[in-house]
Amino acid sequence: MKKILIVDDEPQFAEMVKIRLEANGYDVLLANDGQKGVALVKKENPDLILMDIMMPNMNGGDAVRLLKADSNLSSIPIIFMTAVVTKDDEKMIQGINIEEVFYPTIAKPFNADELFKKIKKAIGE
Amino acid sequence: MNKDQAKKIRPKLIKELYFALEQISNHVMVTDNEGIIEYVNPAFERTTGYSKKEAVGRSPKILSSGLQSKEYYVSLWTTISQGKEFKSEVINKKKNGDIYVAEQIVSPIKDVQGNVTHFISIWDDITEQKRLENEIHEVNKELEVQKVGLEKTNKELRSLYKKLEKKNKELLKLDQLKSDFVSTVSHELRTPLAISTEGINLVVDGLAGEINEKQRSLLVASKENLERLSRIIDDLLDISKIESGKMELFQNFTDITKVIQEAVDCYQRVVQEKKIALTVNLPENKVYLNIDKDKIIQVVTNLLNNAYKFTHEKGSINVSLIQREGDVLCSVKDTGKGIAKEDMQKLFKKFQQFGREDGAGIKGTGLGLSICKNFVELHQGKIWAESKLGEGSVFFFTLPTYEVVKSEFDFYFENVLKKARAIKKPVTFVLIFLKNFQEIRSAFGEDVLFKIINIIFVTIEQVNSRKADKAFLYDLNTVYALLPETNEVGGDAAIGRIKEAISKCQFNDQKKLIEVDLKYGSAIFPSSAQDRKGLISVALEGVHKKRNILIVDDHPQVFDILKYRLKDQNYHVEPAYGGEEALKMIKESKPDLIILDIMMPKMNGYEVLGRLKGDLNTASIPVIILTAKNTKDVQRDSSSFGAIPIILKTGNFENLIKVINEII
Repeated sequence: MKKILIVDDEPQFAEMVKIRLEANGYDVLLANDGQKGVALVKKENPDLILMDIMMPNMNGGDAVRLLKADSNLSSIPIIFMTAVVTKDDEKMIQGINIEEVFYPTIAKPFNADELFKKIKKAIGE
Repeated sequence: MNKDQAKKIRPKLIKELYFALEQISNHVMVTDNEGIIEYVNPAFERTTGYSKKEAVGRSPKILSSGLQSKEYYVSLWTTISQGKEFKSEVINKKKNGDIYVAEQIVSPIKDVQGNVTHFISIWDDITEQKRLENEIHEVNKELEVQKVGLEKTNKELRSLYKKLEKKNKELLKLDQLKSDFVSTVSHELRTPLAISTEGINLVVDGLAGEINEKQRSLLVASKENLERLSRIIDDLLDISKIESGKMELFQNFTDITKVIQEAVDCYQRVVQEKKIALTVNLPENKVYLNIDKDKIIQVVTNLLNNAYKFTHEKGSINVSLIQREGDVLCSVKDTGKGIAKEDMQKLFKKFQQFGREDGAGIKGTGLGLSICKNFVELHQGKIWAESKLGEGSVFFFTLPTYEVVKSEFDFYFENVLKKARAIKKPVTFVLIFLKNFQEIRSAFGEDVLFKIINIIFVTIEQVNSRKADKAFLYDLNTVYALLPETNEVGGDAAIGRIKEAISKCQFNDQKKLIEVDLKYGSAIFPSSAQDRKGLISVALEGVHKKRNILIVDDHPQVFDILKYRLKDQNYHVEPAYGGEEALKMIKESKPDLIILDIMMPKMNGYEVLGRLKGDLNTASIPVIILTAKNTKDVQRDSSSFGAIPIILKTGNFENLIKVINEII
């Protein structure tokens, strides 16, 4: 079973995404900030990370930079997942070259099909 | 006066002295040694009003104004009774009571034995002088007051300025806060919406257990209203950005037909509910415009929302785009109920909603058209509507074609030159030409070509460090850069920076690397040409001309080998067999590249390099060192001249050709 880590400071939202992912046969781990997320990645070595951007302690951008700088972890695919991309978010992820960036926004309601498509592409299923 | 002198005084002289006293303008008074007046002259009579008769025999006290202190009289008497002269200013009173100010000298008159027999007082009426002095004093005092006042004003102004500065800072901060607020609010409002929507989605999708139809329809209604709320938030945030002047366009060279098709395709799902036929008429060719794609999609979607809202079931909506002279005209036509005449002017105003009773389907915020208008106008376009009650409405908007944007640039170019002429400053014009654009288009398609030229354009724009420098995407294969107040040296440096930045870009399509062949041409106003067209043609010549390479090596075989190696390339190669010869040739005609050997008799490569880099006219010519020496040593010794590529003679020449192609 593929392991997906959700890093999000909104526990309710993370829990809901977890339910959806588990219903589709994924093993799901949760972390509520960038720092804990990075620690969990090192420990659990997940197949994919769903990363929020605006978070306390360590934002998603910095967490991704840390992961990409670590040769053991740099190959883990990451999808940015945030309710909305604001200017601040853009600043936080500036200069990050990620193959797949996924922004479910509430204006385009959280589209489960699109999420699974991106996940499948990212982990090469 | 001694005895002899007294004897010598002739009566004639006495008479003359008497006349002198009578006619002098100073008033003169002679008293005996006890202070009784014995003589006054006519000037005294005139000033004081006392006649000789009235004055003689009386005390000078008749003149006392009472304004003189007791000390004054004490001092006067002590001084003159000691036989000394007393000088002072005195305030006297005339017979009529008027006051006058005089400068007085009181001298004792001694007889031959040296005894004081008389006193003589001479006054000068200085009332007028005093008055003037007083006036000056008053004026000075006034000036002093004014000065203090000015200083105070100055100080106040300074503090006011400080206050203003502080206010300005506060305003800037407030502006920032406002931006932050918009950003924070959008985040804070949308996060709970995202959670609520996803929660409902989970239940509707059956991931939290079975639900019945009634529960489902209630939840779907909730979900739709959450979506509506999120649209309202989006609209309010847009309006807030528009009103604070913070709405920005992220324009790109984009095919408008594709953008409209995309917006229409997304909407097909919506119109199905009312069985409305949504059709689209687009030109067959691509129409590239300089637009912010997201904003135009928002405009089209908004117009579709309106059309949908007021169109009855089984009606139709048509979106069309036509190319016109100077712009494209996009229209969204519906067979809805139409707009009343009195509502037409209010159409694009904020919070205006019409025909709500009919508002089935997607509910609006009354902000949509106001936002559309702003977005279209930010693109220099126009938006309007035509409608007939009962028949339907058509909303139109225009967007300027790229030709119009181009002519705006031409106009801007002319203005830069006009200004340069006026201030007598040079302008550098750089033309960057994507030589293999046709190959790229046929191998990867037009979209990829546009993507590449866009990346090149954006990169050049980022390299331009000064605000006055402007890059312009002029065509699908050409980017212009206009650098005001830049001479040849500055222009060469700018081209160097552009080349460096572009060399760091990677162009690929689905992980396949795309080679881009860029040619650079430049022209300087006023030395290369005097006008826009002249500058462009000079720069174009630069783009298409053969590049000159000078090969500096004392071994003729090296030149022969390189000439052979480079024969397939579009270069013109020339040899120089020594350092001195090379410098002479470089001076005569500037090559585009110098390939330099290090070990040469007479003048070695380092010296040549030093002289080249030391001369502003030749410092920007790129150099490649071709050497048989240990590259590390060469690297160390040449590093003071900048990062110069070093190629080993023993190495392969493929690499040399690659480096040459990169540099030129």
